[in-house]
Amino acid sequence: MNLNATIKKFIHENNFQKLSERIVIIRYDGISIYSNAQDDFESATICALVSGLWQAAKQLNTLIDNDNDFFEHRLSFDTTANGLYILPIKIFKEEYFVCSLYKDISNPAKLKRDLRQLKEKLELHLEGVVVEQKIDRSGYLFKNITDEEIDKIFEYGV
Amino acid sequence: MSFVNYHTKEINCKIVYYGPGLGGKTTNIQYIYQKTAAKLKGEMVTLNTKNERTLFFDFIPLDFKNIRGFRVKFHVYTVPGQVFYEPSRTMILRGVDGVVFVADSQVERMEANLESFNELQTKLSEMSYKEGDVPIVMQWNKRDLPNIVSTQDLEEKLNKIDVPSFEACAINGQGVFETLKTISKLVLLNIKGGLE
Repeated sequence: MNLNATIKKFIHENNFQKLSERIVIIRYDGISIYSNAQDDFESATICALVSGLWQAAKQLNTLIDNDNDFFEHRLSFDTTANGLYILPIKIFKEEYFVCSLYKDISNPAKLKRDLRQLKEKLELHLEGVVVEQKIDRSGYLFKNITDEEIDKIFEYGV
Repeated sequence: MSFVNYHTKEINCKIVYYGPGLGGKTTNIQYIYQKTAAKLKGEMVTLNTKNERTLFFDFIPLDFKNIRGFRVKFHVYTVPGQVFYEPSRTMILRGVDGVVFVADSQVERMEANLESFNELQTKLSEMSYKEGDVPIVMQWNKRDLPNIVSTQDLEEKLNKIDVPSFEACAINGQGVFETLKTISKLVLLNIKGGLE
């Protein structure tokens, strides 16, 4: 199974990519799994910041409540028309996030509801497709890499 | 934990610059940012205090050329070095694929170096990593300053695990790319998920 391709297909088939200016799905450590942004670097930056933001909020919350299920939380930073909205999503028992950055939206409540639907539908969808397509990839990706190969990918440098 | 997308042939890895406060972590990645061609890097994100100390993290996304058909993307972070930002360091280490430990070579900073390195090892262990699971490269920074510890002493006190180490003066770029190249190679060699 290819997680990125499966998620992208699901989102585009259901037109979720059009919900807001930026829709990203992020692994807990800030790696982008899906983004509707054209610019890869922008996606990477959004993912790093969202991951940090969520983890900081989670840490803050543990000061007053240690027993919470964080998959039930949501995080908003918004005005009446602009902002961001983050929802945790469980994929293969791991923590991911769905994040929307939006601007000039007339009904943010509807957008948030649609994003919660995206989360729920995607979780359900992935439960169905994962097992039969799982591929076992054991061992290391590269057996050896020479210094010359590393020099070559860094040749933009000093 | 690296992410390999076999469909688009992309590798994503997370490298974290760790070390005591004012040791030169941010200076390292600022140099990398300055010397990297615009099309291969995103904007550098810095979450600083008013007096330019790292508050949460610095971040640069780098998008390298292909290596054996895979496009390699490195997500380079620094942690805040000041002691009281310990929870932030834990957060940033989550999912790390490789660590550059930036030690300050000045005699008076040895204790801070040791404290920071011990903290790093404890954190990795708490995250269930065994020794050797996460590649580490040591950088002995600020070699241009007077009153510095010999590299032999630094090796003996900080590099008991015998990982690659480099002398550096990050402010003028000495040793910066050598360190990054080495951690990059170790991280790539450590990626699980052989091709079928």
